[in-house]
Amino acid sequence: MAPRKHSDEVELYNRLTLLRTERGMSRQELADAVGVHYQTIGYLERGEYSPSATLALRLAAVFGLPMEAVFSLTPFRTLSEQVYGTKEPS
Amino acid sequence: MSTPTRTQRRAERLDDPRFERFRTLRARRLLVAALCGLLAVEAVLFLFIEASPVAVLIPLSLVIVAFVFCLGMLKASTRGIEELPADALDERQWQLRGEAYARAYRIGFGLLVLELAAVVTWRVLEWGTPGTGVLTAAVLLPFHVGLVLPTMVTAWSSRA
Repeated sequence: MAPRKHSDEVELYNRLTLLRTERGMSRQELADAVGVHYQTIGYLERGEYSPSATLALRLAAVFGLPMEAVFSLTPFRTLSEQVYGTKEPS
Repeated sequence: MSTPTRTQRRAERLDDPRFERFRTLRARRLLVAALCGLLAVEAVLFLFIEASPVAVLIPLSLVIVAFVFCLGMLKASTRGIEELPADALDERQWQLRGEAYARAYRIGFGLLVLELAAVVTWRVLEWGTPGTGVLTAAVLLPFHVGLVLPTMVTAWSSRA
């Protein structure tokens, strides 16, 4: 079953991989913390699944951050761009 | 610590990492194809059951054993999301299960329409009274298909 893509479907960007790695957490640990299957964390990180508001809030709470720091409707700036203020060469 | 419920034990068994090799898309689709093949063989065997019941009974038993094994592997390959209750699933699995059931319903309904069309054609063309084998197949096969269709549809999905 191919992922449904409606023309009006909005892509949801997230920083889950970065935040999880930063905190040295495995997918299983993060999954246990928010009460989902570890496979679902993989789908979320790859942007192949958009979470419900409840799950998004739970994930943000695990990292101790506001939801908009973890999820965004526009792409996040890269780390190098934020630290050095330069764009990565494309 | 409370003892796990029957559902939790079943969920853990179906999520066993030993079945990981069955969880690739290719393996799952091969299992679905194998199950379709077994259903087709079962249908053919029923056509001959009247002519030689004893000769058909042995391969039919083998087909049923293979069917059970294949279904077990298929359920492990999908982690049983099509059969586990809501409290054993997370929201993504729950959504996937809903989509799989909706698709299985449409496919099942299509197959039922085909079967009814076959019955009507049989009657209109006056092909005579069907034998016991055909009648048994007409009752048992839809039952078997209905039993495995949600699992097959879930396993076929690239997101399972």
